[in-house]
Amino acid sequence: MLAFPADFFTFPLNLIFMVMWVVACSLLWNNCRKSLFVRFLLSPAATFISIGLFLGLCLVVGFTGLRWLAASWFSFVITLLLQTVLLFVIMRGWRVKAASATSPGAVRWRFLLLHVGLLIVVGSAFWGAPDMQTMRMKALSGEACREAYFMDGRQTWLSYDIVLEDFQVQEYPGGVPSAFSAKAVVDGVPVEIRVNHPYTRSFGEDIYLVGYDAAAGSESTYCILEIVREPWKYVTVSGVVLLLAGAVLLFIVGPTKRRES
Amino acid sequence: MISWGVFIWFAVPAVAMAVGASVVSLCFNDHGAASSVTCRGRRGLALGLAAAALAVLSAFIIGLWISLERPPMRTMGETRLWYSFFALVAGLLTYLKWRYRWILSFSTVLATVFIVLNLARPEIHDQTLMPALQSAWFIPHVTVYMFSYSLLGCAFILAVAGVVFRSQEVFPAADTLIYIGTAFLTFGMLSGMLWAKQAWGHYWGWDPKETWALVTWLVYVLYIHLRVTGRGSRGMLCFLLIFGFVSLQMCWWGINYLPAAQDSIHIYNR
Repeated sequence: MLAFPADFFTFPLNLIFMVMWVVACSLLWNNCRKSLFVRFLLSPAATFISIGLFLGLCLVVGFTGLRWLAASWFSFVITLLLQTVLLFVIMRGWRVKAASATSPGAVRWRFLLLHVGLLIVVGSAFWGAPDMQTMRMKALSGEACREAYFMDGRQTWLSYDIVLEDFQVQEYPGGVPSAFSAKAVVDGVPVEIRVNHPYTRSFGEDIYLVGYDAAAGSESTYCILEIVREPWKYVTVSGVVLLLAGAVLLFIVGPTKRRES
Repeated sequence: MISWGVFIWFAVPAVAMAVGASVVSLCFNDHGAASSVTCRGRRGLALGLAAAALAVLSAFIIGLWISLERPPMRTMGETRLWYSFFALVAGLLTYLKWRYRWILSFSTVLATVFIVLNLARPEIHDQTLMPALQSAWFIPHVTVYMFSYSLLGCAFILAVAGVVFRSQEVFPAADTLIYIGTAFLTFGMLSGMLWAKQAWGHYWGWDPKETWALVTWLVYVLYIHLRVTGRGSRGMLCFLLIFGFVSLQMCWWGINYLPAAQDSIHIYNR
């Protein structure tokens, strides 16, 4: 009951709701700037509350190991509040700082890069979550396979065939595997999949090698592949790049004097 | 061949020189009767000794790297080695910049604790590197984190000093350490995200190590926001710096002992 029904909000619903949320926030910003609600969202208190609540959520997950909490209504509300506060301070930061000659450029850019980057990273995880699919399949040697399973055990069928051609395990002296790789034909394309080297089949869909018959080693007649569909993955990357640039400025520029307010 | 067996021959001289640097820097007094030439000489001696201690530790790290034929960054013992090294680096940099006489002593204590732990429990592992760790992300991810941990360790020392001496004066230095430390914490977390996507298929999985890394990051982000807005009492700020350091230890090794974290996939560094 506490789990957020993310499955309901798959594309295009998630995108529609995201656009509605952005439009609502910008309308509030443009028309009701003096309202109590907007003033609260822009106050330091809202910043501390949103960071504090998110921190509290992480602490509970950290201590209890209850990962489902991260997909619960609590997490939904807290993350939405965090994004709303971020969006509002970005809108203010963009406008106010642009008009101010006293604020050094690097500090303004640092502020924007860090906050926009964080908003994109958090937002892509939040709005993109319903579109994310993780499936596993047992790819058999020399046989065309389509049958896969979602992580909750539901069966599904891929729209293409995967055939395992060859499987190799290299070992250290002592029998510990040093590397393993699968040569497979995915949808007619011969590919090699290794740990840390997934095969990108299409935009947002990657295939990972996650396991094999450890007892048989190189003689393994199957391997376990994981198919991950994450259409928002490049959105996340763009946020990460902005955050990284902001972190570089955090390092270079260092602490600034307190804001006079 | 350099191995953990000979670590003591590097550890003892390194600690001795770091202690020497601390003693010399403690004796050096800006406002005392000593002439400025003597002051400069003592400062130089302190810096020289600290640099020599670092050189000895570096020699061991490089030797271990070569003899293991892989970067020594996987086991707890190996990351503790880097932590000792970067604690001394961070202490030396803080001393160079702000000339706190006592910072070298504290960074020496911090480094020595982890060196002694390594002597007592070296956790010698085999030379193998599991496939998941064979990635270009491995070295930057770990070194960036260890460097930020040591900077934040120095900020923790400053916060304790702030509590003990009831002083506000530690905050400007703590701020710089926190800004740089948080920047590197961010590099570490983002490189971890990109690596996790490549290795495991998902940027974020709420794995205990990831969760505690996020807790640590959020604590320091909260500290920065309190400082930028000029809010937060001395006690609150010191509490956050101490709490941040505790959650950082939780992320680094504490989760190994946390019952709820036993399903972590970051298990190669036990």
